[in-house]
Amino acid sequence: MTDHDAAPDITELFQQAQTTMPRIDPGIVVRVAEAGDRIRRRRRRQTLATALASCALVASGTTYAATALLHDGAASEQAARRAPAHEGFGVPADEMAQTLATLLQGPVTGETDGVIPAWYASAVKQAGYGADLLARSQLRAGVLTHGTGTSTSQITIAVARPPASAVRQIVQRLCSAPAVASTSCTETHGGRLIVTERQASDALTRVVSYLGDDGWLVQTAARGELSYPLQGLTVIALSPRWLR
Amino acid sequence: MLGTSEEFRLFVSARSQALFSSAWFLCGDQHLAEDLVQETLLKMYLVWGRRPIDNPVAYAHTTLTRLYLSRQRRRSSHEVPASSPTPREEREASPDLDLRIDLRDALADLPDLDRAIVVMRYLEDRPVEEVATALRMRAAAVRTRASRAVAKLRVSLGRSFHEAPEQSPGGDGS
Repeated sequence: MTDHDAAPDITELFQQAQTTMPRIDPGIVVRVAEAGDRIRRRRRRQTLATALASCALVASGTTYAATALLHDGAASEQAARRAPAHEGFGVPADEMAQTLATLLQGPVTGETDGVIPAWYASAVKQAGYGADLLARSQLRAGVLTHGTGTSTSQITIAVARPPASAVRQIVQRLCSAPAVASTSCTETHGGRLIVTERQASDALTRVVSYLGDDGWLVQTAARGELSYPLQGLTVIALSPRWLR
Repeated sequence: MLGTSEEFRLFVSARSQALFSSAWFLCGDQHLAEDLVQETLLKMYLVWGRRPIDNPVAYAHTTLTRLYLSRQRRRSSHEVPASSPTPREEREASPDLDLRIDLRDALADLPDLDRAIVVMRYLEDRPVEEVATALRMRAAAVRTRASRAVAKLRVSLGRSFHEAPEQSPGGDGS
């Protein structure tokens, strides 16, 4: 290298440092990309449908008829998403885990009984993750097991459509809970992504909560070592398969 | 012949770890790095097969760096980190990570743009002209900033970089 900014010592350091870099699961990245693409397309359709429907209110009957054709599927989906709280889950409680396992297509096993595990219930209560503010009827949870033998981890993905008052409380809890080791809150174009970590006696419990502007709460929690990025799982959990 | 989806999977399998390394050294946090990689690959997925990409590897790394810089510019108004990453816990958990953590900490002292230049030049081993194009700068400016950033890095790394090998019992200093 003849550039005057050449620094073989720094290059060498980077090479050495990379040897201890955590591994990322390429499979989950692909699935997240595909899921993200589907979500973006769905949101674009919804935005278009909303805009067209707004125009249609003030436009002529001819325009309205044309708009209705474009509106079609996305509008019905939107209407379903505006259903009263606690209604409109697309997947029965006891099928959540299996649906998740199918979506992930990875080395995970879905628990089929639909029972919310004790560690998750305990974690959300002690650390103030917020889902304990909801009644069981307001919540759907899928539980997955990842890994084999002694190195297994459990993932719980809970989906709920809480009332607005509960959302405010949940945000307050998530951002101020004293038992939480760290918290970060990111505003996205579709809602708020809140990442919280809590060091329990046995392992780090990490929870990602997504509070969508459309009223949905998706909370992903993991106990034990996990090669999947939780944010990615949360994106997958936003699947239109049950958010309808 | 592979379909576009299968080609994308192969590309991700081959490059996601390198992208993750770049992202990790840019932002210094595993979870933010995962987010950056996912956002980068999502952007690639959206154009994959729809229009030709001459050099997908360079395209991906450029996208990742630009996303990072863009995110840093927006950070003050959009993101409120409640605490910094936890280097102490990481060190206690695995002392072997010292070098990586030291390098991350030294990079954290650099301005965002300088950090991006250092990562592209010395981790990704990209030519000055390519870095300049990716960051929309002149090549001379990239060289100058890279030189200054490296000088700062050497000072920041200080003991761990220059003195630690000499202190190793029985070490040959190589």
